[in-house]
Amino acid sequence: MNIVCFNDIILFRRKEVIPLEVSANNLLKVIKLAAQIILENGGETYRAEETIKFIGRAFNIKEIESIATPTGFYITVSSDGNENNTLVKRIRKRTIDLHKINDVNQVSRQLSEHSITLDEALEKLQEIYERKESGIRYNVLYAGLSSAFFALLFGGHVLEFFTALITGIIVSMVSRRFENLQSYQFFSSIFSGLIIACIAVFVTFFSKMVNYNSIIVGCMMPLLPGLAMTNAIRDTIRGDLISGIARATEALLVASSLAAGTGVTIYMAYTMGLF
Amino acid sequence: MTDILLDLIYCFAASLFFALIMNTPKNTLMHTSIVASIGYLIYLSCSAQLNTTLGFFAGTTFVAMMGEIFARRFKMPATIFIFPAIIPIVPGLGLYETMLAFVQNDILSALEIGADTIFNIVSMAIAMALVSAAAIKMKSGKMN
Repeated sequence: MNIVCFNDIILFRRKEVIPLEVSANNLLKVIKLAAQIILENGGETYRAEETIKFIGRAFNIKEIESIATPTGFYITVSSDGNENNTLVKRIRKRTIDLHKINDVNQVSRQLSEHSITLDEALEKLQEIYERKESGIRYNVLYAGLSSAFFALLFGGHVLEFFTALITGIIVSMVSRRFENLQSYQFFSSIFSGLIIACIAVFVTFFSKMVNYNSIIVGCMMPLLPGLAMTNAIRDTIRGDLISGIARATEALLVASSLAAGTGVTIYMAYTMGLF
Repeated sequence: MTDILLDLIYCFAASLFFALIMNTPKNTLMHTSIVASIGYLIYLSCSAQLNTTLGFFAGTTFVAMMGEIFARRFKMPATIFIFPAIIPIVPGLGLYETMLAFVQNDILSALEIGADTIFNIVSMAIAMALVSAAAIKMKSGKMN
């Protein structure tokens, strides 16, 4: 009982020592969560670093330094210049969710304007972090429709449209299963490529009037690593060379495994003389 | 003419649904889709009239510029606008044709198309980097 009281007093005193109404620990928690959400949902690494610096500056932190890469980040916060709090966080799963990035951006804005307190920000970030994708069923349908319209754009007609629609839906459902596997995006891309090419080749083989090129390209378009490429460029020109190289590697890995999956299937179809 | 109009409609729909997959904020969906189809139109007309690589460059420049402008206006990260809008211009067809030529054992044309595709991707990268650098220069320390 005594010990608990003693602890409380120490905590209270430490709060008094820091010339702010926030504790460095709380601030570190908020910063960690914000950077983690940005990096896990496809934000640029410089955005994560800038958000960290932005929030720190808003609370008059004396020293705040961070290094962010797509696979993790390190933060050091020193509120008085003597005591350092350091945090290392590894980023394991990476998806794309632009809505979450936007929400974190808004929270960091509000924090720097002091229109919300640190505890409210922590609550908001927790809510953003735990938010599930709304309506996976709709997302699968959107993936199919996007593939279908890309197939039309690359010279498809009615039959190609519907084949691409169904293929897109199947691919999106299958790649969702592979997301949980440890292999980052590799298996998901290679199997997506395999499925796309298989369906396109079979439909062409049986109907004889479908143009398989437009189906394959249409279904490949939404899977291409556009965001990785964009972020690689945006990171590199800011001087974040490690992140830029990492993103470029990611883009290359996804594109080449997608091409490998499709290419192997088409090669087999050619050697078997299907067309 | 009707072909181009149809292409624009297809492009609009494709990028709209793509933006929906990536969970873009709802109030920016229309903007990104319209920018995507105008960017695709610029890419199409430039590559038909002048040069394919220049078409990729011009289309990407437009999309990236509009992305930065909208980012200021909506106070949102520029990636939200650039990423869904750039997807129709990404040379997926070139990538696929390179692979197809390799598969068909036509190594020479595979290398030809492959080199062309790489140049197109690099020109897109240069366009994006130029616009991004200009935006950083103008922003001067403020965060969007």
